[in-house]
Amino acid sequence: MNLISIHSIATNLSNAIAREFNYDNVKRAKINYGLEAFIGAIIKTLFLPVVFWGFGVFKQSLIALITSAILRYASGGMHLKTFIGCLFVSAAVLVSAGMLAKVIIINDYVYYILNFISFLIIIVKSPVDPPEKPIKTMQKRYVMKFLSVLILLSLIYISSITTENDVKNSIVLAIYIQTLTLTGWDKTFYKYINRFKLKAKEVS
Amino acid sequence: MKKHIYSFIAALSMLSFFIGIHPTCVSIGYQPELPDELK
Repeated sequence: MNLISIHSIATNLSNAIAREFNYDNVKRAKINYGLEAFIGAIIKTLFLPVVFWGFGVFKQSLIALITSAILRYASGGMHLKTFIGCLFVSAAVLVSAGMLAKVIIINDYVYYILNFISFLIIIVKSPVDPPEKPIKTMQKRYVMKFLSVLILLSLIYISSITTENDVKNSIVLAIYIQTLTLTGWDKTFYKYINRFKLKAKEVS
Repeated sequence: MKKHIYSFIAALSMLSFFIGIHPTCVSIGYQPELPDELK
């Protein structure tokens, strides 16, 4: 499947900007990286809510997205190799979580077990940084671990005081799915996803 | 006009870069590859 790559759009635009203002290579690379991240964020922000709404799980999936995004900011997690792959897998996982949250009833035992497993995984594994952008100091690593635990406990607290069952389920499922991405099991899953070669076409 | 638009995009990109360069940032599962100049 060939799609126009946001990487090539960002590269072309950053080259044009660098030519216009006579920027050096480092500044051009920063603009290129920032632009790619920004375009990706805009596409996700527009695409995901539309998909959630289309499947009738707007509220549940949006809560799952916000929960996992907040936790992921401190804990990190696995990444897919392509933007398109990420977009579709994120949509599929979050819609599934939203659908599950709408129909299931998580009893107290399962609730405590899921939260306890999530807590253990965060304590042991967090933060998981991408190899191309490693966290360089131990001090920063400890700060991120502490922040992850703090965010996790806050999310658990929010879920425990929520009266609406689907909201509570969304938060618990999102926490659990996000912490599972720290364990590395998803490497096998993502390996199969990456095999589909959802690669983008370079445009010049 | 073109210069103003480019300048706006450049400023937005730099802001996005300083947030996105954070090791665990970009909250959903994909991070753009770091350009060679920044490795």
